[in-house]
Amino acid sequence: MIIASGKVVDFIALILIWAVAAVFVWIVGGKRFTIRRMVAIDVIEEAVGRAVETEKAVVMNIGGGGLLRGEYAPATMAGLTVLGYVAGLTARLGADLIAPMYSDGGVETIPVATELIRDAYMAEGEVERFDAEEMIPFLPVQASVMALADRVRPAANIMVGYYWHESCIWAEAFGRIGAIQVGGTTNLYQIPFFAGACDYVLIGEEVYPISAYISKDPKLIATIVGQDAFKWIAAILIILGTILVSFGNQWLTQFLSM
Amino acid sequence: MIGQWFLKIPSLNELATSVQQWGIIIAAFAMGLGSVNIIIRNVHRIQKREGTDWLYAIWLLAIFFLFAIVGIGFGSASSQYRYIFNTILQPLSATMYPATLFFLVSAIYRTFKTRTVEGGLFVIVGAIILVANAPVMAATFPFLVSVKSWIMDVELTAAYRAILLGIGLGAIMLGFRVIFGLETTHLGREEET
Amino acid sequence: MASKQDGVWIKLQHIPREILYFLIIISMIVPLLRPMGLPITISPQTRSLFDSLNTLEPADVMLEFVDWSAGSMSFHQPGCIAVSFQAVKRGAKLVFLSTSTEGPLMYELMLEKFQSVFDEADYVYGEDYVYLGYVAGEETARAAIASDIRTAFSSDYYGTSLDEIPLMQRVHNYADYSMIISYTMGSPESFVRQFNTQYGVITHIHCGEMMTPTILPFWASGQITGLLNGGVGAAEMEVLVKRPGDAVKLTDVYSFSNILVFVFLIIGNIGFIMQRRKGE
Repeated sequence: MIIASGKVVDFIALILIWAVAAVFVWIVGGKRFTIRRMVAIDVIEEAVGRAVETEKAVVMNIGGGGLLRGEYAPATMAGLTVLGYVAGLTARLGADLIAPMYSDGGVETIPVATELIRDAYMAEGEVERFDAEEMIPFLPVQASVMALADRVRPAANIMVGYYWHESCIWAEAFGRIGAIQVGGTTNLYQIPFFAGACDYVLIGEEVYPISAYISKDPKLIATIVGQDAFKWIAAILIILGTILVSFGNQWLTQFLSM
Repeated sequence: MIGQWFLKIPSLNELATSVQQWGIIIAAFAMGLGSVNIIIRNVHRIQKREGTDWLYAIWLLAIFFLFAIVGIGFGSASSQYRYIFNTILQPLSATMYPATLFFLVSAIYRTFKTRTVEGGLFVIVGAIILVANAPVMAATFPFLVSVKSWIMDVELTAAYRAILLGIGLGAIMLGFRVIFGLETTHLGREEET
Repeated sequence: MASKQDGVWIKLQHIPREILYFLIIISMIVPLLRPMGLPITISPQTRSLFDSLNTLEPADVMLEFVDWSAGSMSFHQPGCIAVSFQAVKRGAKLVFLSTSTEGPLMYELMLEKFQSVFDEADYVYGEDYVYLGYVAGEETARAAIASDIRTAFSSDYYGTSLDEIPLMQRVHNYADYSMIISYTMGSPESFVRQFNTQYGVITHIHCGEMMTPTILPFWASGQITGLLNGGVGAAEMEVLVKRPGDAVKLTDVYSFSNILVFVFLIIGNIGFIMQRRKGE
């Protein structure tokens, strides 16, 4: 058989996921669907507003995952989406934005982030306020971001991207100075640190629909609906499989292992 | 790459192997790009001479070029390179990583409070795991190991599998959006709907 | 009106961090200076790794990914030494390699402590063990190593062509690896994906304590055969191979520091609960 053994069902499932997504995007359309409220994203505008009132900066960090490594790139892309959104807000409302770039694998994102922020400021007609050196400092080590927290004392710290153990250090460093914190990552090991130390958290897959939630683009929303449809299917299979295995029937396990 | 994972087609496997090799080469170039970026940014900082940051930039470039010159000149397997690694990078790196512990302790003490029922459960489970992870407590109170094993093997595994499932499906859908040009917000472009 | 007792409960919630940090430092220094030899229990995950190592035969080849950094050297190095010791005792051949930038130097430091074991077992470089060096690319590199090691490495760390190394003449891809073990703080799941899921290679992981909860599902499902949980796992392995070393010395530190953090957690919550009760 042309499909590797043990992966037949996986391959068919992948094709089906894409097919269902395509149906939702181009046939059904996403206009009739809405995404549930994501408090962690909604609060960003309030946080920027608070930064304006208190004349403090907003710090937005996209982590050190970079765009070249397949496992980390999706979270970095989500972080860049939030960065563009935050840059638009700070340009519009008049807050200062600092987007430190961390060296560990994230250097290739610096040009992307620079263009993203410049475009956002240009779209709001505030391009003269854009200063790459001030807004996008390159901080090679974790301690430099902690020093930034102590020096700048921002009103808000938003961390969406791929993080390692620096997540705990930074969340605590910014939390100690009283900044509102929003954290989101797909790195399972770091989610508990964000959940404990940040005021608002995006857990795992919640970072992926951010672009759909912010832009309200029907096509993007349609892909989220397609994804949710398969989550239901997965849940049903899990329940069915648990019941069958509990009664000694391995049919579903064997079928899914084909 | 998806084809290589699922399909048994020799020519596809050869193509995928080529792509993997290209990936290794590109990753190496990315490191070079990063190095050039570091040099340019820190030179700018030195030229500006604002505050005291430019002094750290000089220090950074000095250490950078020290490692680069010794590594290229003598080789990364040489005793000279190993000496500067063991005396500079290794102790500093070994110091920074455990700094996590102090911030972790501070975070646990400051934020883990029984404000709500869920928060209380969080604290109870965290406390059990903390104590059971101490080897002396695990040896002295074996029932703690059983409780910890149950929490890790049943509750935690179930929760993490659910999160993993969601992340997996989300990543597949993100790939779909990127491949078909639906996802461009990370590039700053706005598509007309 | 706030009473003196309310002040006590509030103070319990706001112990200065300098005091917290000082107590943590004391809890680490005292057991290092005066080791107490507190007992250690062996976890099923470590036992599983040990049992798997005991299935190795002299013709078997084990890949060891030296992917730790200076920050995690305190537990990864003793773990690697203990595992490698058992593999050498079984007569298996070892191929060391790295997919992290600090790997080569970490290997050199590990070898300084392990060379005597190779010498006692009459292990010859190139015939019984080899170090291939570092390859960039992380998961891409791991995928290449699994499918054909020569797409990732053309020579060993010292510049000798793979085809000139006797051991590597019979090592080409996943079919030639009896098992792999990864010592990493990066992405242990990538090893599971590229070696076990793709080719069914027996996979072991030695990762940091904070990563163990997320790797446990893979061990529970059998995708990972052995799992060492950070420093405690390394100590357990040292006990199993009957060669107590640096990791065993650190278990007293783990015990004390974990208990101290537990005490801080309880103190903070007692202060919070009592303050809330007084306020009701």
